[in-house]
Amino acid sequence: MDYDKSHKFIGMFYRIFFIFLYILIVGGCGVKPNSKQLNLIMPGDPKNIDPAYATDVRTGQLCTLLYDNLVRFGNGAELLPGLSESWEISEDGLKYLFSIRDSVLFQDGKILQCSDIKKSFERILDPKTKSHRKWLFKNVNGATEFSLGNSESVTGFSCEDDNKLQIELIQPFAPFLGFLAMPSASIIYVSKSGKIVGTGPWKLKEWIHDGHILLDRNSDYFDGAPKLEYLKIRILPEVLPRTAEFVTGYLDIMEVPESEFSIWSKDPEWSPNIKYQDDLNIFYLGLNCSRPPFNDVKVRRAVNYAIDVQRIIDKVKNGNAIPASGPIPPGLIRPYPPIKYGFNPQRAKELLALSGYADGLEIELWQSQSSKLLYVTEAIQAQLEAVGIHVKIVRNDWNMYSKAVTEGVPDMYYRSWYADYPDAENFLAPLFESEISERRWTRYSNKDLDKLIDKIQTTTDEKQRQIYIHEASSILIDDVPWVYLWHTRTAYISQPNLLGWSPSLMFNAEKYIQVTKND
Amino acid sequence: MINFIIRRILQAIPVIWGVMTISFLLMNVAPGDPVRAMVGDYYDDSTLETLREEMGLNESLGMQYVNFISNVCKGNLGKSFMTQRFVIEDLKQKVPFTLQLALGAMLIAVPMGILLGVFAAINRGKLIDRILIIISLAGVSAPVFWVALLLILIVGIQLQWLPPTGFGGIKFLILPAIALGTRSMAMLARTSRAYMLDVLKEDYIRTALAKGLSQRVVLFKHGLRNVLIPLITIVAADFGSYLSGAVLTESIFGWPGVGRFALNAIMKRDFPVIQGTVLFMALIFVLINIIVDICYAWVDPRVREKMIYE
Repeated sequence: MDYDKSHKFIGMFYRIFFIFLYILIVGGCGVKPNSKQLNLIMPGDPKNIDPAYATDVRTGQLCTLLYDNLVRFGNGAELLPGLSESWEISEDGLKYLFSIRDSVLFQDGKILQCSDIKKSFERILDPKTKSHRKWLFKNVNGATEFSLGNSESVTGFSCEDDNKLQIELIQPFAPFLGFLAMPSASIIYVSKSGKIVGTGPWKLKEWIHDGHILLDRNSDYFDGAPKLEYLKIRILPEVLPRTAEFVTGYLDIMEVPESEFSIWSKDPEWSPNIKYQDDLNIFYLGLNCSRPPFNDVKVRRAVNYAIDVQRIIDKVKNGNAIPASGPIPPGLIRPYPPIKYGFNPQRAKELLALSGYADGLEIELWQSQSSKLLYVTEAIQAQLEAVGIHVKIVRNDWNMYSKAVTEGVPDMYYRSWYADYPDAENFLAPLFESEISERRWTRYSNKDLDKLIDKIQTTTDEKQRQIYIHEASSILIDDVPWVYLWHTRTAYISQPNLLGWSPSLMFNAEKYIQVTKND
Repeated sequence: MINFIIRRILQAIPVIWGVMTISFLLMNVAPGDPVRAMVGDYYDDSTLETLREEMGLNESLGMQYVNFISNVCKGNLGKSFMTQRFVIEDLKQKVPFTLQLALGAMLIAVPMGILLGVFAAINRGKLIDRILIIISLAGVSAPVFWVALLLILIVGIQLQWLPPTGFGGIKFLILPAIALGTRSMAMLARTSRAYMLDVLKEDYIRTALAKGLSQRVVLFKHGLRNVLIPLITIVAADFGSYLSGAVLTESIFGWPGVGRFALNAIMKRDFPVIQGTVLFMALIFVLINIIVDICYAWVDPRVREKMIYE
């Protein structure tokens, strides 16, 4: 059968192809980024807009845009007035008196009063709310009784008048102001229709879960309305599409991916737009101190000596980190302690021999599933192998990994810790306090350290606190329940026409009020 | 025909029940803890215990199963552990996006794939046939994420014809639909070529041509119709899998569909969402299988007769 006259088919095929091409081009024409809209990105969907459930960074960031706190984080570690224009702390550190701003409006027009703040805080403690952040206020007088349903209100929150709120603590707690700047301490009220209403600079317009969050500016914002009209947060889990969005102008600010850092930083067109932020974090290897081999401090020190942290920073992290000497990041401990365990494989071998591991030992290093982390753990694996420690890397999804760490399964685990509030205490109590550490982390326990942490929490004199912080840090550097790896520095890149933005130290500091675009 | 459909729906009930039961058991025996994923890094044992109690996780597995099945029967898929939103509400938001993407992919894959296959078949052995064979082989072999990234790089970044990712109109749909549909298109092209070559050797094709019918009529009315049954099977299987979630395509293009929803829930052990999405997927496959059977009957009179006879 001869089908030479198949040109009809060719014609049909081409017609379809050109119609398709036409749709492609015409559809694409006129797709321009909106100049009145700030375009941001998140790698995953926030959980909720209810601050009572704000336990993750993304939900916290969204809450910061929609709501306000009594105090807020500045660009650095400082605390600035938020809904309260000033505050006084009693000499004994037990009473906080806040002066609430006049004429602040909720986004539905209701005027903010002291009673709204009291109710907002009580809502977190209310057993009906089932908040996961009750611990924020556990040190407030009457909080426990209220959260157990044994009282009508929290006696520690009292309104002297519409503009004066007093918070009374059971015992002094130095980081308490920082707690009030956390997302779960956002001031909201629940309307009769069950809607959560805040006072923040942005109003929620549309939320397509796993797609985008679209916000409108709040023109009545007490601190001046945002300069741009809209704010769009795209949810994009993959790295390359984010880069594509940025290159094509659909994204205004992007965290430079580690894998692309050298490309962006060497590009003369883009490199001037890169901004760096030293992060308040610590990356570490947790060592299980409850059983051999890491119940022996000499082995823990040997591991610290065996790892060339600077080399990993240079090769894997593009130099965007500083080696850590202890758990507390620079800025929260002054002066920053010097590195005690430099790279010294010979010393590591000696210590291992002293502990009876001259012939080497085998351990498991656990990490979460991310392949990005594997670059680090494989480097560590190779360096430890050189001193006779044979490392098996175990990867699991976050949930299984996290459960295993809590149950003390791994010999060693790779993790990071980011500040919830800019205070050294945040890098000590939740990680090393014996009761918590034994139950959830490395099983390291030290009563002297517990006493110091207690003093750091209750001492309000900053000079004295720094002394205690150094003492606690020294204990942890000597006992090394972790391998202290690094504190990262994040590189951000913004569009050249974006003005009024610079990265902030705290994840929930930025409200994008002053950000604008050059047309 | 109606009897047939009713019978198939009744047959589907144990299938759906089985899928739900297996997924329930698998999720409950899998390691991991949804409560820990909910509370973050700060918690004490009493908080965990209270939450487990509230979420019904402290009840026996049998009781949890009974509660789960009875709620599903009432149309209540429950609330997500993580977001505290109703699963059904989230599914309602996501299904239209998934449907859009799956239909877009099929609209590209089916006509293009069949046309290319037929075109290759009638040009058997010629250069164009060989080129199309290589292209379709590449299409079948190319992983969806690679095609997606390539499209973003070329069409989104280099040519800037279309927004690289996103959703909200036809211009956003084109790239993910091509990425998702490429494999189906290639598969359809290869299958339709192979079957068409067999059909074109049949006597009835020769007879039709000898009768003086035009090539187009012979090919499409007599030839293609006989190729449709295997093609319908491929289209149905692919369409079903696209509807139940194209995780990679959705993740790369930031498409808010069911696939990402299910994946995130699995990672966080969000049991109500996992159960809800599994139920949705099972229903989709059952529905598609019924539609496929109806399509077979529509295309092939022999099947139709058998259905009526049964």
